[in-house]
Amino acid sequence: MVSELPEELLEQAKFLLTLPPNQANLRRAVSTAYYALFHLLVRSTVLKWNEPLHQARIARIFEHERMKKVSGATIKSMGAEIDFGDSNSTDVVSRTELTNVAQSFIILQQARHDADYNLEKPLDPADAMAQVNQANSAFVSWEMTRNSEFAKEYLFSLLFKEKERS
Amino acid sequence: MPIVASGLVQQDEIRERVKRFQELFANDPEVARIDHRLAEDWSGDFSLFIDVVLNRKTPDAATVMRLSEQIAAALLRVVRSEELGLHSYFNFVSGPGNGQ
Repeated sequence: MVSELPEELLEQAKFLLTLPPNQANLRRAVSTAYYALFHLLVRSTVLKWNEPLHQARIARIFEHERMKKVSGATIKSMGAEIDFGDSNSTDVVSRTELTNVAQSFIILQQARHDADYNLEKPLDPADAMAQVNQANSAFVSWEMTRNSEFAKEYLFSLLFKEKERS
Repeated sequence: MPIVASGLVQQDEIRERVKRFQELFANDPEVARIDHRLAEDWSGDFSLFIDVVLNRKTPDAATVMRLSEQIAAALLRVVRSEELGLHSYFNFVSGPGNGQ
């Protein structure tokens, strides 16, 4: 179960941006960037279990919409205490980075939906670049916050129904 | 702007926050303008959509990365839509005259 899939997907999203900017490449890049972050959060959660069989089963429980709602609730609960300066507080840094991850998840989920299903207008190359960058930023932020209690609580909430936004 | 159920969204507050958000980028040479609208997202949640219209048709990667990080941070710091019950999203639109 444990794999490098999240990192591979992120690299693939970046690679797609180096190809000719046709709609197929741009849309696949955005969609892949979302799934990179999705699988990063799934992997981080299932690693809490030691049994590989359980990891695989737990990985199938995740629901995209619930993850979005939990991410929104997380941003709301962290809102007053995030910091964009040079805070020395470990807690504040962890909250801020977790907020970035949660925001990125919400933004990328919508971007992925548009990339895969919204054909009303072409996907702008600059927008594809921005969305892939958002995923990259989320990976960096996750590395900074993943061991915090806030991140552990976030992962728990992604899996179990008790923190959805009403 | 669509009609939104009363009490669901504090539209005046949203407008005020978006105005402050727009002012942050008013003097950025890469940004032509910033538009916004309230609409449902893919799952039917009322949400704030921000369109960042760029001045250049083919902005370089460094510009897009800088702006996307600043836009995302400003959404959290200034707009704070989640506390008003809205998700917020942004999209980049290249070149003047696009994104109308």
